[in-house]
Amino acid sequence: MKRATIIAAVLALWIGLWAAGATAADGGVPKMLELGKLSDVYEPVRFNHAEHVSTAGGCADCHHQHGSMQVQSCPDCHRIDPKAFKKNANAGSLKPCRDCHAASVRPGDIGRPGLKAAYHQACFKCHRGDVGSVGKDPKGCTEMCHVPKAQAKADAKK
Amino acid sequence: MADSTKKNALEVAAREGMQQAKENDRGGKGAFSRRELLQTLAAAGGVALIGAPGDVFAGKKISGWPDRMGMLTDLTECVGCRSCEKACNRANRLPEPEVPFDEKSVFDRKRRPTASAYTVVNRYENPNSSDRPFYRKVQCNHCNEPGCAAACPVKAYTKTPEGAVLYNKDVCFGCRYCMVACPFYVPAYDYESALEPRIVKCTLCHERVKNGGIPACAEACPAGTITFGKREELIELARTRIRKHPDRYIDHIYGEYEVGGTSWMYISGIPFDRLDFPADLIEKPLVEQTKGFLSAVPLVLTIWPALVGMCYAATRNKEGKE
Repeated sequence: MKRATIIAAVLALWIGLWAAGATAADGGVPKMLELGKLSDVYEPVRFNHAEHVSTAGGCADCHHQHGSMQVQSCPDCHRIDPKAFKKNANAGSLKPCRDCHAASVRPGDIGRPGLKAAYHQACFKCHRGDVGSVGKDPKGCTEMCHVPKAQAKADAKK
Repeated sequence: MADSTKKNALEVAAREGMQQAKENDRGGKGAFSRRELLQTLAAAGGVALIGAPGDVFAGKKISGWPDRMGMLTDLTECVGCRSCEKACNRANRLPEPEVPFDEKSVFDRKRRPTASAYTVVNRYENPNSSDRPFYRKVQCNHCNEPGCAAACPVKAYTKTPEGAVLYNKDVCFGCRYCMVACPFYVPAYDYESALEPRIVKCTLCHERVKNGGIPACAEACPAGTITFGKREELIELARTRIRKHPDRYIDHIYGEYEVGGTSWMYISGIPFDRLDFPADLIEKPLVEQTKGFLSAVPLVLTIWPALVGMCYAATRNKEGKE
C-alpha cells in the first residue's frame, strides 16, 4: 500500500514536470508554453500546444494564417535537419515568434503584427465565434485564457 | 488656381500676423488681444484681395505635411475587447468609468466620445453570423484640413506636422462651433466645469508620439486592429490587404479622401454606412466650402464703413443745402 502511494506520488511529480517543462521533446515542437509574460494586466497564459496540435489540421491553421504575408520561405523559421526531415520538419530548431514579431511595437513597424497581435490573431481564428465568447463579450478574454493579476493574487491569499 | 493662390496668400498673411502678435506678446504687451486678431484678419483679407504676393506662390500646391503620421483601423480584426478604451483612459488620466471596461452592456446603445472617454467602441450586428458582430472604434479622425480648426474663431485648434489635431483650452471661450463643424461629431464639451470651458477629444497621443512612442490604444490593442505609422505607408498597407484578400474587405479605404483625407483611416468587410460612418461626405476639405464666403467678409468690413460714411456725407450735404 505504502509502495503504491510512493509510486503514485513520483508518477504525479514526473507528469507535472513533463507538462511544465517539456518543450522540445518532439523535434522542437513545443508542448506546453507560457505566453504573455510581458502582460501587466493578466497572469501568463499556460498554453497547451500539444493539445492544439492534435485538434488543428496543420500548422498553417494557426500560424501565418493570413497567407504568409511577409514570410519569405520555410527555412526562415524551420531550420531543417536532413537526417530527421522525413520524420519531422521541425527537427532541429524552430525560430521563436518574437524574432520576427516585435514584443514592443515601435513607430514604423507596419505590415507585420507585433508579438501580442500575432498570438491573438492565431487564437482568434477559432476562438472568435466558434469556441468561447471572444468577439461577443469583453469578458471572453478571461473565460478560457486570461487570469487577471488581481484575481490571481486574491486566489493565492485564499 | 486663382482661388488657391488667394488662399495661400491668406494663410501666409495670417501666419505673419500671428507671428507679429506673438512677438508683441513676448515684448510684454500682454495677451494676444482682439484688436490684434482683427488687424491680422483685415491685413490677411486685404492681401488676399489685392493678390500681390500671388506670383510667388504660383504653381506651389500644398498637400499637407509630407511625413505626417496616421492610424489604420482594420475593422475585420476588432473583437470588441475595449482594451483601447481602457488604455486611452489610463494614458489621458481620465476618471474611472461608471461601468467597468469588461462590461458588454455598454454595447446596447451606440455611444459617442465624451469628455471622460476620448474613444469608444460600438457594436453592430452581423446579419450573416450572430457569433461575429462587427465593432467600430470611434474617436477624432484628425482630418488633414480640419473643419473644427476652420470654424474656431480663436484658433484653438492646430494641425501638427505629426498629424494630430490639437486643441488649446487656454484660448477657447466655449462657443462650440467646432462641435457643429465636425463631420464626425467628435469634439465633446466638458460640462463639469462652468468657469473653465474646454472641449475634449483624442489627441492622437501627441506627447507619446513626439517622444518616440505610439498611441496608447494602438499599443494596447491585442488583436492588431490598430496600426500606427506614416499615413502614406498606411494607405499602401491598406491597399495591400484589400488586394490580397478581396473576399475579406470591401474596396474602400475610409478616410483616404473623405473631407480631404483624415489621419485616421479604416478598412472594413461591410459597407461603411452600415457601421454609421457618414457616407455622404464630400472628397474636398470642408474648409473649401466656406472659403469663398469667408474671404469676402474682410472686404465687407473694410469697404462698408467707407460706403456708409460717403452716403452719410452726401446726405448731410444735401440736407445742409436745403
